[in-house]
Amino acid sequence: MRWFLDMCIILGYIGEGDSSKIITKTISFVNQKKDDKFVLCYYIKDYNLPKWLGRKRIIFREILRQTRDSSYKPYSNEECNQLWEKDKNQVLKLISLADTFSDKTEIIRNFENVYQEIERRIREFIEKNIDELVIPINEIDLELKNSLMTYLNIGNPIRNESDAKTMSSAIQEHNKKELCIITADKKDWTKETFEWAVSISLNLSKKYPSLPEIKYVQNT
Amino acid sequence: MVNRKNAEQIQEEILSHLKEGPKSIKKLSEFTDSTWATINTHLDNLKKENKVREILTINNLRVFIRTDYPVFYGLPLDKEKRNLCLYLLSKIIDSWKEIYSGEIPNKTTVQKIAVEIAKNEPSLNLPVVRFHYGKVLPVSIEPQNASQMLIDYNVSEPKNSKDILKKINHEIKNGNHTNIAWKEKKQQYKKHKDMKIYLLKDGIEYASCNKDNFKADTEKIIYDFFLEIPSTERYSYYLRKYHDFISAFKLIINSNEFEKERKQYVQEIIEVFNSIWQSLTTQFFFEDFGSQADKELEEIQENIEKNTFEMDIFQIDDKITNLLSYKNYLTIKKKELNENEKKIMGILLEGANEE
Repeated sequence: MRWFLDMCIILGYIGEGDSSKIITKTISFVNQKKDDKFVLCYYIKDYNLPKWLGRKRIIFREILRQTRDSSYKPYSNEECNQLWEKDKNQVLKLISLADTFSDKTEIIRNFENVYQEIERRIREFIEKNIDELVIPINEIDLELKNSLMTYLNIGNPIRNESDAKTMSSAIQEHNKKELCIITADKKDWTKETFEWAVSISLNLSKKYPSLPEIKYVQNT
Repeated sequence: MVNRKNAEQIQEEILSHLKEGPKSIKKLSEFTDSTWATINTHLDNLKKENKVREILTINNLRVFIRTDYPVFYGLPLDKEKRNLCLYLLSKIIDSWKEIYSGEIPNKTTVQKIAVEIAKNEPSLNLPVVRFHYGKVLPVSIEPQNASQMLIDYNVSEPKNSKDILKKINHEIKNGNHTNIAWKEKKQQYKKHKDMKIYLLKDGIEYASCNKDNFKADTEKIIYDFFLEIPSTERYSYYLRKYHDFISAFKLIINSNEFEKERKQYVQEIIEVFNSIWQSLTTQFFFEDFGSQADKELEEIQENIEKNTFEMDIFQIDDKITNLLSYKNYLTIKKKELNENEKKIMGILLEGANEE
């Protein structure tokens, strides 16, 4: 089988002893790879993963601002515009953790150790498990991406376009050589999304006559 | 009949007006009642004679200062304050020479004495700014030319001159000052409670000389320094870049390759740190210097600050990118995480299935 990996698979795999079902399933899925091929798109490797890592660093700087400067208004720094709501939940949790440290230098050391280890694990994952890198970022079909975004954005106008670009890469690659998508996101990564986005345009229907199968890691 | 001024007179007038601080060609034309083109020509001649310097060129705005203008970055400074600074610095030099049998004090010692006087006598209302080597007055004076500067800038004795001279003598004799610049700096950093970041910078500098123990000595100080970078918007760039610097530093010192070429890596790390430091302390300077009341002067100052910042970030970005590029070449050792680190990782990876 040729698997197209969504970013959540990599992030799920590199975690540390999390016992949640999705993580366990993700680790088990990767470890059972055997003769299967794992495919990753350049958009995830060169843009989305670095962007995710960047958000984690912003989270940490925000924790520093909030914990050492009582006059600082939380999230008022411009770079916080890049944070998602769930990132802010992480800030809250990490601040509670930071409060238990008497030596603030130790928080920085711990955070940097974690960050460096996450980077190392991602790099190791790609080196060891990824067999093919596909669809350079500048080859992502904008018409397809926009169509996917239109569908994804219904009822959610501020959504970022990263899912749409990853989905485009998967559909494009599938039409070159068959693949199956593996993800944990049941909400957006659906057959309906793909069908709607492609069938809406005659041009897209012609270009992409076949749509990839989607499997959810929770169900594997 | 119109009595036209000759070239010498116009140039004298220009130099005289420039004693008050930076001026645009437009302003100098108004002051001297000459055309823009005339002033432009005379400024070009004065530039060739090394009597003036162009400090800013933006569209039609060209700003000049005298080459001997004593305020840092050629910034405009209220005449009364500037003259009081010049007077104080000059008299510190004179008094030092008198007390220490003609010995000429170095510029750092003179500045540190001045800062102590400014701190102990707030009524003097002297401007004090933080800069690369600690707190100073924003005015520079060469110890050899001090008296001449007072004449050139028409600095008269202030009303309380006797009182000031007394304070200078007291500070020189009782302030534990020496004519050794690094000792003076260190003394100030220790004495002023708001200068922890300067002490940490010294610590990093010291650790870099001790290259054999660089890793062990430096890591904590590098992190402590991070905690001292202010949180305000002005310093956002530095917080971000220093954070990147920490990441690169950690990567390098924890790599398998570090021990083999320790000296080169330490040198590169310190070079990047120093670039950040120079620029960060320039921001301290501009923050402490404050803003201008006059609109044109405000525009001049804002542009000087902007140009300085842009030149700095160009350099810093370039150096940090180079340092971070080691990620592609160095082998990072696997890290066993402690319990807190596992918790942090767990939190950071929460919701990863929605990414």
